[in-house]
Amino acid sequence: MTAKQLTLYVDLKRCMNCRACETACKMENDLPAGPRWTAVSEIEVTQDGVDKCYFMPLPCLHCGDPACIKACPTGAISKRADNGIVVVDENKCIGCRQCLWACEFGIPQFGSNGKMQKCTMCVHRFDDGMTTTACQDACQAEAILVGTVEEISATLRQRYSDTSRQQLYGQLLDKK
Amino acid sequence: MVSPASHALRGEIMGRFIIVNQLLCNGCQLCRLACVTAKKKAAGLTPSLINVHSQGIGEAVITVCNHCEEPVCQTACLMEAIYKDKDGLTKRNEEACIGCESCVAACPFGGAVFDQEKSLSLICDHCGGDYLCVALCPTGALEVAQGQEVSERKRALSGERLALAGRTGAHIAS
Repeated sequence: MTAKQLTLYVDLKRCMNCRACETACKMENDLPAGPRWTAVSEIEVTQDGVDKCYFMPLPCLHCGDPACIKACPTGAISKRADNGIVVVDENKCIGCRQCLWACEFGIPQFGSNGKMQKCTMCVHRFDDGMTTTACQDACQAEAILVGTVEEISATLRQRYSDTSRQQLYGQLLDKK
Repeated sequence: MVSPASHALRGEIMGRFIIVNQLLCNGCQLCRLACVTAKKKAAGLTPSLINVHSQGIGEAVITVCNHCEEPVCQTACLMEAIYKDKDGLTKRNEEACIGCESCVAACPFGGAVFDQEKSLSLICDHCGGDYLCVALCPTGALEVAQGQEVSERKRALSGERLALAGRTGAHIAS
Protein backbone atom coordinates (compact mmCIF):
# COMPACT_ATOMS: atom_id res chain seq x y z
CA MET A 1 0.00 0.00 0.00
CA THR A 2 1.20 3.47 -0.78
CA ALA A 3 0.25 6.58 1.11
CA LYS A 4 -1.87 7.94 -1.71
CA GLN A 5 -3.42 4.61 -2.67
CA LEU A 6 -6.42 5.33 -4.86
CA THR A 7 -9.43 3.38 -3.70
CA LEU A 8 -12.68 2.38 -5.36
CA TYR A 9 -15.76 2.42 -3.19
CA VAL A 10 -18.92 0.77 -4.46
CA ASP A 11 -22.22 1.16 -2.63
CA LEU A 12 -24.35 -1.90 -3.34
CA LYS A 13 -27.48 -0.23 -1.97
CA ARG A 14 -27.19 2.53 -4.53
CA CYS A 15 -26.42 0.38 -7.58
CA MET A 16 -29.54 -0.18 -9.71
CA ASN A 17 -27.96 -2.31 -12.45
CA CYS A 18 -28.16 0.36 -15.18
CA ARG A 19 -24.70 -0.70 -16.40
CA ALA A 20 -23.78 2.88 -17.32
CA CYS A 21 -20.35 2.18 -15.76
CA GLU A 22 -19.77 -0.72 -18.15
CA THR A 23 -20.70 1.42 -21.15
CA ALA A 24 -18.63 4.37 -19.97
CA CYS A 25 -15.62 2.10 -19.36
CA LYS A 26 -15.89 0.62 -22.84
CA MET A 27 -16.12 4.08 -24.43
CA GLU A 28 -13.33 5.58 -22.34
CA ASN A 29 -10.91 2.74 -23.04
CA ASP A 30 -12.11 2.00 -26.57
CA LEU A 31 -12.86 -1.66 -25.86
CA PRO A 32 -14.30 -4.04 -28.45
CA ALA A 33 -16.87 -6.74 -27.77
CA GLY A 34 -15.56 -9.25 -25.27
CA PRO A 35 -13.39 -7.86 -22.49
CA ARG A 36 -15.29 -6.09 -19.74
CA TRP A 37 -13.02 -4.18 -17.40
CA THR A 38 -15.91 -3.52 -15.09
CA ALA A 39 -19.02 -5.66 -14.99
CA VAL A 40 -22.18 -5.59 -12.89
CA SER A 41 -22.93 -8.97 -11.35
CA GLU A 42 -26.47 -9.86 -10.38
CA ILE A 43 -26.22 -11.74 -7.11
CA GLU A 44 -29.13 -13.78 -5.81
CA VAL A 45 -28.77 -14.98 -2.23
CA THR A 46 -31.09 -16.33 0.42
CA GLN A 47 -30.60 -14.64 3.76
CA ASP A 48 -32.74 -15.58 6.78
CA GLY A 49 -35.19 -17.36 4.48
CA VAL A 50 -35.64 -14.29 2.27
CA ASP A 51 -34.52 -14.28 -1.35
CA LYS A 52 -32.63 -11.12 -2.18
CA CYS A 53 -30.98 -9.72 -5.26
CA TYR A 54 -27.99 -7.42 -5.19
CA PHE A 55 -26.13 -5.73 -7.98
CA MET A 56 -22.40 -5.41 -7.72
CA PRO A 57 -20.26 -3.43 -10.15
CA LEU A 58 -16.82 -4.97 -9.90
CA PRO A 59 -13.83 -3.22 -11.46
CA CYS A 60 -10.27 -4.14 -10.51
CA LEU A 61 -9.81 -3.65 -6.79
CA HIS A 62 -6.12 -2.65 -7.15
CA CYS A 63 -5.28 -4.77 -4.11
CA GLY A 64 -2.61 -3.75 -1.63
CA ASP A 65 -0.83 -7.07 -2.14
CA PRO A 66 -2.15 -8.37 -5.47
CA ALA A 67 -2.30 -12.12 -6.13
CA CYS A 68 -1.93 -11.47 -9.88
CA ILE A 69 1.51 -9.92 -9.40
CA LYS A 70 2.67 -13.01 -7.51
CA ALA A 71 1.25 -15.34 -10.17
CA CYS A 72 2.73 -13.51 -13.17
CA PRO A 73 5.86 -15.31 -14.40
CA THR A 74 7.15 -12.42 -16.53
CA GLY A 75 6.71 -9.49 -14.16
CA ALA A 76 4.27 -7.83 -16.54
CA ILE A 77 1.97 -6.68 -13.75
CA SER A 78 3.15 -3.96 -11.43
CA LYS A 79 1.79 -1.63 -8.80
CA ARG A 80 2.50 2.03 -9.31
CA ALA A 81 4.34 3.66 -6.44
CA ASP A 82 2.62 7.04 -6.69
CA ASN A 83 -1.05 6.04 -6.51
CA GLY A 84 -1.07 2.27 -6.04
CA ILE A 85 -2.80 1.51 -9.33
CA VAL A 86 -2.06 -2.01 -10.64
CA VAL A 87 -1.06 -1.82 -14.29
CA VAL A 88 -0.10 -4.43 -16.85
CA ASP A 89 2.62 -4.11 -19.49
CA GLU A 90 1.27 -5.77 -22.65
CA ASN A 91 4.75 -6.06 -24.11
CA LYS A 92 5.89 -8.29 -21.27
CA CYS A 93 2.65 -10.32 -21.04
CA ILE A 94 2.82 -13.76 -22.66
CA GLY A 95 -0.89 -14.48 -22.29
CA CYS A 96 -0.55 -17.47 -19.98
CA ARG A 97 -3.68 -16.55 -17.98
CA GLN A 98 -2.09 -17.39 -14.61
CA CYS A 99 -3.34 -14.03 -13.31
CA LEU A 100 -6.93 -15.01 -14.10
CA TRP A 101 -6.59 -18.26 -12.17
CA ALA A 102 -4.98 -16.38 -9.28
CA CYS A 103 -7.39 -13.44 -9.08
CA GLU A 104 -10.23 -14.08 -6.64
CA PHE A 105 -12.50 -11.67 -8.45
CA GLY A 106 -12.07 -12.71 -12.09
CA ILE A 107 -10.74 -9.30 -13.08
CA PRO A 108 -8.12 -10.09 -15.78
CA GLN A 109 -9.68 -9.97 -19.25
CA PHE A 110 -8.35 -11.31 -22.51
CA GLY A 111 -9.15 -9.67 -25.82
CA SER A 112 -8.58 -10.84 -29.34
CA ASN A 113 -4.77 -10.48 -29.06
CA GLY A 114 -4.72 -12.91 -26.13
CA LYS A 115 -2.87 -10.53 -23.82
CA MET A 116 -4.12 -9.68 -20.38
CA GLN A 117 -5.93 -6.38 -20.00
CA LYS A 118 -7.83 -5.03 -17.07
CA CYS A 119 -9.23 -1.96 -15.34
CA THR A 120 -6.56 0.74 -15.07
CA MET A 121 -8.64 2.89 -12.73
CA CYS A 122 -8.48 5.38 -15.65
CA VAL A 123 -4.81 6.01 -14.87
CA HIS A 124 -4.51 8.21 -17.97
CA ARG A 125 -7.15 10.54 -16.55
CA PHE A 126 -5.33 10.81 -13.23
CA ASP A 127 -2.08 11.42 -15.10
CA ASP A 128 -3.83 14.29 -16.89
CA GLY A 129 -4.76 15.82 -13.56
CA MET A 130 -8.38 14.66 -13.46
CA THR A 131 -9.74 13.22 -10.24
CA THR A 132 -12.52 10.92 -11.43
CA THR A 133 -12.83 7.72 -13.41
CA ALA A 134 -15.19 7.23 -16.34
CA CYS A 135 -17.38 4.78 -14.40
CA GLN A 136 -17.66 7.22 -11.52
CA ASP A 137 -18.73 10.04 -13.83
CA ALA A 138 -21.30 7.82 -15.52
CA CYS A 139 -22.84 6.47 -12.33
CA GLN A 140 -26.15 8.32 -11.90
CA ALA A 141 -26.73 6.86 -8.44
CA GLU A 142 -23.26 7.94 -7.28
CA ALA A 143 -22.65 4.37 -6.16
CA ILE A 144 -19.01 4.46 -7.30
CA LEU A 145 -16.53 6.71 -5.54
CA VAL A 146 -12.83 6.99 -6.35
CA GLY A 147 -10.19 8.69 -4.30
CA THR A 148 -7.90 8.25 -1.37
CA VAL A 149 -9.36 6.67 1.75
CA GLU A 150 -9.56 10.10 3.41
CA GLU A 151 -11.56 11.59 0.54
CA ILE A 152 -13.99 8.69 0.46
CA SER A 153 -14.33 8.74 4.21
CA ALA A 154 -15.23 12.44 4.09
CA THR A 155 -17.90 11.83 1.44
CA LEU A 156 -19.38 8.95 3.39
CA ARG A 157 -19.50 10.97 6.60
CA GLN A 158 -21.31 13.74 4.76
CA ARG A 159 -23.77 11.22 3.31
CA TYR A 160 -24.38 9.68 6.71
CA SER A 161 -24.95 12.98 8.40
CA ASP A 162 -27.35 14.04 5.64
CA THR A 163 -29.44 10.88 6.02
CA SER A 164 -29.46 10.94 9.81
CA ARG A 165 -30.53 14.60 9.76
CA GLN A 166 -33.40 13.72 7.47
CA GLN A 167 -34.42 10.86 9.74
CA LEU A 168 -34.20 13.06 12.82
CA TYR A 169 -36.32 15.82 11.33
CA GLY A 170 -38.73 13.21 9.99
CA GLN A 171 -39.23 11.85 13.49
CA LEU A 172 -39.74 15.34 14.91
CA LEU A 173 -42.32 16.12 12.25
CA ASP A 174 -44.12 12.86 12.96
CA LYS A 175 -44.43 13.78 16.65
CA LYS A 176 -46.06 17.14 15.94
CA MET B 1 -3.46 -6.05 -33.05
CA VAL B 2 -5.41 -9.18 -33.86
CA SER B 3 -3.47 -12.40 -33.78
CA PRO B 4 -4.19 -14.31 -36.98
CA ALA B 5 -3.60 -17.64 -35.31
CA SER B 6 -6.28 -17.87 -32.74
CA HIS B 7 -9.84 -17.18 -31.80
CA ALA B 8 -9.98 -13.70 -33.29
CA LEU B 9 -13.57 -14.18 -34.34
CA ARG B 10 -16.18 -12.16 -32.53
CA GLY B 11 -17.59 -14.12 -29.61
CA GLU B 12 -14.69 -16.52 -29.72
CA ILE B 13 -12.43 -14.34 -27.63
CA MET B 14 -10.54 -17.18 -26.02
CA GLY B 15 -10.43 -20.87 -26.76
CA ARG B 16 -11.29 -23.43 -24.14
CA PHE B 17 -8.70 -24.11 -21.48
CA ILE B 18 -8.01 -26.41 -18.59
CA ILE B 19 -8.55 -24.34 -15.52
CA VAL B 20 -6.78 -25.27 -12.34
CA ASN B 21 -8.29 -24.36 -9.01
CA GLN B 22 -5.28 -24.92 -6.80
CA LEU B 23 -7.29 -24.60 -3.59
CA LEU B 24 -9.42 -27.64 -4.42
CA CYS B 25 -6.58 -30.00 -5.38
CA ASN B 26 -5.95 -32.71 -2.80
CA GLY B 27 -2.90 -34.13 -4.54
CA CYS B 28 -4.42 -37.52 -5.41
CA GLN B 29 -2.49 -37.81 -8.74
CA LEU B 30 -5.55 -39.19 -10.61
CA CYS B 31 -5.07 -36.60 -13.36
CA ARG B 32 -1.55 -37.90 -13.96
CA LEU B 33 -2.85 -41.44 -14.17
CA ALA B 34 -5.54 -40.27 -16.60
CA CYS B 35 -2.98 -38.45 -18.72
CA VAL B 36 -0.67 -41.46 -19.04
CA THR B 37 -3.66 -43.70 -19.71
CA ALA B 38 -4.94 -41.45 -22.46
CA LYS B 39 -1.57 -40.84 -24.06
CA LYS B 40 0.36 -44.09 -23.56
CA LYS B 41 -2.61 -46.48 -23.26
CA ALA B 42 -0.85 -47.89 -20.22
CA ALA B 43 -1.07 -47.44 -16.48
CA GLY B 44 1.55 -45.30 -14.79
CA LEU B 45 2.38 -41.85 -13.59
CA THR B 46 5.12 -40.84 -16.01
CA PRO B 47 5.54 -39.22 -18.45
CA SER B 48 2.45 -37.25 -17.54
CA LEU B 49 1.74 -33.93 -19.26
CA ILE B 50 -0.06 -32.72 -16.17
CA ASN B 51 1.88 -32.69 -12.93
CA VAL B 52 0.89 -32.49 -9.31
CA HIS B 53 3.44 -31.26 -6.84
CA SER B 54 2.08 -32.30 -3.50
CA GLN B 55 3.47 -30.36 -0.57
CA GLY B 56 1.06 -31.48 2.11
CA ILE B 57 -2.63 -31.02 2.73
CA GLY B 58 -4.00 -28.09 0.79
CA GLU B 59 -0.59 -27.42 -0.66
CA ALA B 60 -0.77 -29.38 -3.91
CA VAL B 61 0.09 -27.46 -7.04
CA ILE B 62 -1.06 -28.64 -10.47
CA THR B 63 0.98 -27.61 -13.46
CA VAL B 64 -0.18 -28.12 -17.03
CA CYS B 65 0.54 -26.31 -20.28
CA ASN B 66 -1.30 -22.98 -20.30
CA HIS B 67 -1.10 -22.57 -24.07
CA CYS B 68 0.25 -19.05 -23.65
CA GLU B 69 -0.45 -16.54 -26.36
CA GLU B 70 3.26 -15.86 -26.83
CA PRO B 71 4.83 -19.05 -25.48
CA VAL B 72 8.28 -18.82 -23.93
CA CYS B 73 8.91 -22.40 -25.10
CA GLN B 74 8.32 -21.32 -28.69
CA THR B 75 10.93 -18.60 -28.32
CA ALA B 76 13.34 -21.01 -26.65
CA CYS B 77 12.96 -23.85 -29.17
CA LEU B 78 16.16 -24.27 -31.17
CA MET B 79 14.49 -26.12 -34.03
CA GLU B 80 11.34 -23.95 -34.25
CA ALA B 81 9.34 -27.09 -33.66
CA ILE B 82 6.77 -25.37 -31.46
CA TYR B 83 3.95 -23.39 -33.08
CA LYS B 84 0.48 -22.04 -32.35
CA ASP B 85 -2.33 -23.76 -34.21
CA LYS B 86 -5.57 -22.18 -35.41
CA ASP B 87 -7.39 -23.00 -32.17
CA GLY B 88 -4.80 -21.13 -30.12
CA LEU B 89 -3.19 -24.31 -28.81
CA THR B 90 0.60 -24.53 -28.54
CA LYS B 91 1.65 -27.56 -30.56
CA ARG B 92 4.93 -29.30 -31.24
CA ASN B 93 6.22 -30.85 -34.41
CA GLU B 94 7.55 -34.21 -33.15
CA GLU B 95 9.74 -34.80 -36.18
CA ALA B 96 11.56 -31.50 -35.77
CA CYS B 97 12.11 -31.95 -32.02
CA ILE B 98 15.68 -32.96 -31.18
CA GLY B 99 15.05 -33.39 -27.46
CA CYS B 100 17.31 -30.56 -26.33
CA GLU B 101 14.99 -29.74 -23.40
CA SER B 102 15.25 -26.00 -24.03
CA CYS B 103 11.47 -25.69 -23.75
CA VAL B 104 11.44 -27.68 -20.52
CA ALA B 105 13.98 -25.30 -19.04
CA ALA B 106 12.26 -22.17 -20.37
CA CYS B 107 8.67 -22.84 -19.35
CA PRO B 108 7.96 -21.02 -16.07
CA PHE B 109 5.21 -23.47 -15.08
CA GLY B 110 6.70 -26.86 -15.89
CA GLY B 111 4.21 -27.22 -18.74
CA ALA B 112 6.67 -28.90 -21.08
CA VAL B 113 7.59 -32.45 -20.05
CA PHE B 114 10.52 -34.53 -21.26
CA ASP B 115 9.72 -38.09 -22.37
CA GLN B 116 12.77 -40.20 -21.53
CA GLU B 117 11.68 -43.15 -23.72
CA LYS B 118 11.27 -41.15 -26.91
CA SER B 119 13.81 -38.42 -26.06
CA LEU B 120 11.20 -35.83 -26.95
CA SER B 121 9.57 -32.98 -25.12
CA LEU B 122 5.81 -33.15 -24.80
CA ILE B 123 3.11 -30.54 -24.27
CA CYS B 124 -0.54 -31.04 -23.33
CA ASP B 125 -2.64 -31.01 -26.51
CA HIS B 126 -6.11 -31.15 -24.87
CA CYS B 127 -6.56 -34.72 -26.21
CA GLY B 128 -8.73 -33.44 -29.05
CA GLY B 129 -11.31 -32.08 -26.61
CA ASP B 130 -11.73 -35.32 -24.66
CA TYR B 131 -10.32 -34.39 -21.29
CA LEU B 132 -9.83 -37.56 -19.26
CA CYS B 133 -7.88 -35.71 -16.54
CA VAL B 134 -10.76 -33.30 -16.00
CA ALA B 135 -13.33 -36.11 -16.07
CA LEU B 136 -11.45 -38.12 -13.43
CA CYS B 137 -10.66 -35.24 -11.07
CA PRO B 138 -12.65 -36.04 -7.92
CA THR B 139 -12.46 -32.62 -6.27
CA GLY B 140 -13.31 -30.35 -9.17
CA ALA B 141 -9.87 -28.78 -9.12
CA LEU B 142 -9.65 -29.24 -12.88
CA GLU B 143 -12.25 -27.72 -15.15
CA VAL B 144 -12.62 -26.89 -18.79
CA ALA B 145 -14.06 -23.50 -19.54
CA GLN B 146 -13.63 -20.38 -21.59
CA GLY B 147 -11.77 -17.45 -20.09
CA GLN B 148 -14.78 -15.17 -20.14
CA GLU B 149 -16.86 -17.78 -18.27
CA VAL B 150 -14.23 -17.98 -15.55
CA SER B 151 -14.21 -14.23 -15.17
CA GLU B 152 -17.99 -13.99 -14.94
CA ARG B 153 -18.27 -16.88 -12.50
CA LYS B 154 -15.55 -15.49 -10.23
CA ARG B 155 -17.17 -12.06 -10.24
CA ALA B 156 -20.51 -13.57 -9.26
CA LEU B 157 -18.93 -15.76 -6.57
CA SER B 158 -17.07 -12.90 -4.94
CA GLY B 159 -20.30 -10.91 -4.89
CA GLU B 160 -22.13 -13.81 -3.31
CA ARG B 161 -19.44 -14.07 -0.64
CA LEU B 162 -19.88 -10.40 0.21
CA ALA B 163 -23.66 -10.65 0.25
CA LEU B 164 -23.70 -13.73 2.46
CA ALA B 165 -21.22 -12.13 4.83
CA GLY B 166 -23.83 -9.46 5.40
CA ARG B 167 -21.61 -6.71 4.04
CA THR B 168 -24.16 -5.61 1.48
CA GLY B 169 -24.13 -1.96 2.40
CA ALA B 170 -21.01 -1.35 0.45
CA HIS B 171 -17.76 -2.92 -0.41
CA ILE B 172 -14.52 -1.13 -0.28
CA ALA B 173 -11.82 -1.94 -2.74
CA SER B 174 -8.38 -0.82 -1.96
